[in-house]
Amino acid sequence: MNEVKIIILGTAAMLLPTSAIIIFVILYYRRQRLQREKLEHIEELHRQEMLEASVASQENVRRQIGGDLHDEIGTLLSATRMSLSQITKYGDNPSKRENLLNQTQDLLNEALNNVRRISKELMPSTLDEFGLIIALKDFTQKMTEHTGVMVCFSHGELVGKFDSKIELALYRTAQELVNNALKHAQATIINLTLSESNNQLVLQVSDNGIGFDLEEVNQPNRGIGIKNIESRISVIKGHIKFDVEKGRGASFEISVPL
Amino acid sequence: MLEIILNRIPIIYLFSSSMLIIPLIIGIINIKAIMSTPLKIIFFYCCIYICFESVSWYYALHGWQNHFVENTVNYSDVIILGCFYVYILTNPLHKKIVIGIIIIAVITLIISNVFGIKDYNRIDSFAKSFTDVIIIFLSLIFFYQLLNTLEIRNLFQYSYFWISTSLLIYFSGIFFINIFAEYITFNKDESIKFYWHIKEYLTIFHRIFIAIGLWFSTTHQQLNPSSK
Repeated sequence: MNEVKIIILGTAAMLLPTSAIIIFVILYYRRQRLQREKLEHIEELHRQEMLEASVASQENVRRQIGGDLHDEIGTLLSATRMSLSQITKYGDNPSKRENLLNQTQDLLNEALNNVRRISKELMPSTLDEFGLIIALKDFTQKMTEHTGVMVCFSHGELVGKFDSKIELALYRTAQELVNNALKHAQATIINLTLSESNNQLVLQVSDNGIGFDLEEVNQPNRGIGIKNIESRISVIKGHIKFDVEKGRGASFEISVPL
Repeated sequence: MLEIILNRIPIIYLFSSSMLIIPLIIGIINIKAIMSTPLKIIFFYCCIYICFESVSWYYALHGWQNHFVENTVNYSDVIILGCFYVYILTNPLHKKIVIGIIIIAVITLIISNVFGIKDYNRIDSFAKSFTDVIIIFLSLIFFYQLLNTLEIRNLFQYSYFWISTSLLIYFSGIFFINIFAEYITFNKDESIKFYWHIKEYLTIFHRIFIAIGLWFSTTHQQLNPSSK
């Protein structure tokens, strides 16, 4: 091999790692861009799913309110109207009139109670007046009384009220998770814990039910419960961790920055 | 003494040796920021090199053989840079591979020094090339990890990227010089000089890149969202 060839070959060989580094940098940024695009696409899909879940949830609530108004309030008011028209018919019979008036009053009271219940379900007054801790305490007590399932709540040394948006989101999430545990997980003990750590409000919900498969639940054709929770939590910039598996109790940890 | 230095030694040699001061100064300036163990190792590597260079120059100026320094440098390269990679590689399997490589490399260097050259004051070209290959391989593992994880948002502000780039370019350059020097020895002295000059330029770049790496030790590394 002559001298010139060796020098050219040697120089080329030395330029090889430099070229390799340049190619590496180009490849790195290209892959990074592709990964970012993929991530953005996934985020967009997720956002869309959240939005759909939110819309579907609103529709559900509207349907439920509509049903409640029609079936309960509507029926009671119709009965009240009929009762009132009966009163006018029996104007000359005081005992019958008295009886009908009492009946109408009962119907109106029942309607009023139903209106109160529906409005309480829409926006719990305890939450508004006394804050999340008292509202959750009240909620868990009522659930224990009405269902016979032990729903426990502990809150460590937390006192006072938090931001109303955070309180409402966490309250609704707790409601949804407890309802899910009762309806689907066949749980007999449900624990709710509210705590604060590193400037984050943490709500932990766990049960001893039969658990579920998260992937199965997240299928597009399945219920919107979990997506709805995620959507609620993402609005207040929180995170939810799932520790679930079919065959054992589920555990959820929702952390929200304060 | 100064006259001897200026008359007998090419200025590029002086320049490349003095470039070691840059990473050392930056390391001292950023000493508080160099909290991570890998960067401490690199700073230590620069300090060790100052010692080697001083001994080498001292021997050279007295007209004594200083080849034993070159042979000792191989050990420090393999052990110190190997430890650096053990710390910066995140994959446990890669870490184990690197530890294994360091142990095998040190044993090979000892065998080569004892049974190969026999006289420690002669340059052990096999040991030198072997060390170069080891460091090239370690830096390639690091680049492989970088490309697989895509963790770092801005490579140009990432200390380990600059340090690994410096090591890859320098050691592969030296490796090719050693290989081609074998052929050139039988030809003109000018060609040898040409390659030795290139070696000095590589040394300058090597030290500048390490200095850049130490400089960015103060920069907070932004991670890609997917890696958080």
